[in-house]
Amino acid sequence: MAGAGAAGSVPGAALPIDPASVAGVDGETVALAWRGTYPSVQIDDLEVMEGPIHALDLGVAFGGPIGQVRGGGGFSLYLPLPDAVASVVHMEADELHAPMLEDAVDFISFDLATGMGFGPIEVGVGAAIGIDLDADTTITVRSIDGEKTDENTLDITENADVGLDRRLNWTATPLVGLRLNHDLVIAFLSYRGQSGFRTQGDTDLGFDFEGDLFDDLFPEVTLPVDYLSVWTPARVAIGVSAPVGRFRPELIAKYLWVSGWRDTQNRAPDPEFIDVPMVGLGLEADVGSGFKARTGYAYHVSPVPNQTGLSRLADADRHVVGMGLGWARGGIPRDNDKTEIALGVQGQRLAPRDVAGSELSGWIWTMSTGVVTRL
Amino acid sequence: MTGLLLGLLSIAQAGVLSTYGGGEVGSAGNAGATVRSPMAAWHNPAAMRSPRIEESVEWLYGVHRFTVNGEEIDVTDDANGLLVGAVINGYWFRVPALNIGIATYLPMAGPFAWKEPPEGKKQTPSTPRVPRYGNELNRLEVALAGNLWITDGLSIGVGVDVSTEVETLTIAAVDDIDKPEQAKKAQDIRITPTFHPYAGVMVVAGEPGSTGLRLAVVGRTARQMHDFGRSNVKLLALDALYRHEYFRHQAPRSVTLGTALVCPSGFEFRADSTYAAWSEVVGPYGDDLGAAWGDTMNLRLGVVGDWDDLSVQLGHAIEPSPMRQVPAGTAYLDAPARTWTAGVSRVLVRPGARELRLLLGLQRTRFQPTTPADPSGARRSFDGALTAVRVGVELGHKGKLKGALWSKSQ
Repeated sequence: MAGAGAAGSVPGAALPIDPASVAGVDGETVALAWRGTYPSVQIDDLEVMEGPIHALDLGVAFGGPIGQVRGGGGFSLYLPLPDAVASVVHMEADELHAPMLEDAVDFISFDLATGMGFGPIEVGVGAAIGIDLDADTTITVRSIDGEKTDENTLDITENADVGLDRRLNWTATPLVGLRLNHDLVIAFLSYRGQSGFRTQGDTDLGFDFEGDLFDDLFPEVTLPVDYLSVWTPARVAIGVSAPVGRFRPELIAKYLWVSGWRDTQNRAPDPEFIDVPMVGLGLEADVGSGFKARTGYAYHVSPVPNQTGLSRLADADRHVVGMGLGWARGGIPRDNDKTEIALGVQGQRLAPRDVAGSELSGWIWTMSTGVVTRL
Repeated sequence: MTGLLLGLLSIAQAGVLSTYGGGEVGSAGNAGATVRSPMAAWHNPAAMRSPRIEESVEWLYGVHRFTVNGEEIDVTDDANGLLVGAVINGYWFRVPALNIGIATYLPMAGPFAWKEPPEGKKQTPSTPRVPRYGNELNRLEVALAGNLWITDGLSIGVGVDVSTEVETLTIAAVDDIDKPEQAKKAQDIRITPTFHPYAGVMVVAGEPGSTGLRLAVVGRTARQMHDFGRSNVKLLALDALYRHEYFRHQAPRSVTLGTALVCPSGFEFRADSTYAAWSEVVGPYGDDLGAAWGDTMNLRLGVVGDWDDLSVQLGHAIEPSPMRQVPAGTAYLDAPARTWTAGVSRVLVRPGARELRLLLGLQRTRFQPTTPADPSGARRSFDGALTAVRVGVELGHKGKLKGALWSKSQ
């Protein structure tokens, strides 16, 4: 449904965008899906995104009545395969690349939430769990004897000691939501904090040469490291869904605070990015025999203005179109059934855009299939 | 048997699940022949058997202390994390003979950490290390498994132990040596999951309420994390390339044979033994440990008392060391150990068909003080102990097991 569909989905199955929905779970919900992303995005002939990227989505939620109210909790895991984290840090400010596209789907994410329901009102709070890397590297050079490589570089591996001290740490950003769960209309409002994969540490270069001359030439030096990559902005999302006969339209709107973006060397782009809205409309139709057909369209405004300074960052507006089919065994999941199997395809068309004399254009295709079961 | 007994076992593979928390609380590791534990996805996938769904969440704290010549050495962080296990029956998919499960250790102090001091591969490292436990005892572990009960008394299960390898490419260019913070840097980090499968078979003889016997076999493939990459450093006139390559989170191939004798009186006696091919494991720099590192076979014994709302479990394990002598050119150390465990599980409440239990387990592993032979002539007296506590809850299910293979309607 091109990003819409969270409000009308099985409670708890769309936790990352609608955390309050865990309060509506009665029993247990398990959702498992496979997603394949096939990018074809170029700046002239240069491929911007690596692919294909295959990933698993797993969601588990449980809940039930607690006295006069309802309570629930759950988690959602997005696990790209085969790399759990693939983070690229760029060195030069004038390097031409597309930060909003690179790495965007090649990073593990884990969200968890708990919620309470009071009549038709449900509230949820949770956290988007991420990981940061503390990476201290110590290199001690005993001799600059080495083998010359093609890049006119000395490979002195045999004459250097390399030590690593690394730690992957949990980090958390807030996830809060409010949901109206009424027979006539379902609506949600949610907020998700900014997150990113931060690499911090020092690279200590030491030299263990004999002779004062070398000591003067090559003193010990510490290179501080502080990168932020796979950055995602804070955002607020609103979704509204209302059944109309056999149809269920759903509107979704998001607002993303992208203006705080800095590159991996903490440099501000020139000009800086802008905060942007995103809007989408989805439609689900009950076509009988347990089948549901779904479609949707969304428009994503690019937060990246034309770069006029040293930075050469590229991005484009996107038209998103989605189609899908679901089959619920024994009925539709929202109507007290057990299992739904779904299949979907989404295409994101990048509106061609001139980037410093080069053209950015292409498609990002996503295929997905999964099952949602209520235990 | 409820299978809720707390089991802190020490299968001969490093890692939190095997060292502290992969089995039932208090069983000292003899969990190969247990049944119906939410952590069964790790200790024997064939043992998973739940009428509907069972989950457990436990907090684990493990303290490990090692000394060399009386001086404490830094091996790894204390274990401080959550053990989460779940088994779901295929009843929901009309295949009640099928069970799927997950067993994880989630460290609170970080998914995992590792440390490799800068020591030349061609030099003799002088820092004492305990490679069987170094970097191991507080890392993230995830095991996913499924099984099928072919008959009421025969189950076959397979699982996969998820680990990672890391590739790091770093570039740094220093133009002004007095302002290293202005150096240009670039990095490419790739953390890739690796998959290490294992399989189990469980045979159950006897009817509930009478004397019964269970036999189990679990075989595991080797596990290894490869940490590699290169750094390019341009420092004034020097344009140098360094490479690094380490091996960690290693576990050898192993096979476990387990048995359990169930008595109508409510007592159950268990024993199992694991043969681990430690001779195939390399050192942290990929170094050949030669004849200094040999295969091991351990023995774990346990007794379980099971009453209506209470289960009590005691266990003892005899763990030989894979080390025959200090490997040449290293300061790697190890020693035989004895493990004692105790566990208790008590029903707190039974809402509907569910059953909430409190779990409590203790473990103490004591290494035998050893001064291993060292080709270099160095004398290092090695000693150590592991102490752990587990506290948590288990949400079981008292529903009736469905015996039919393909339909829950029968």
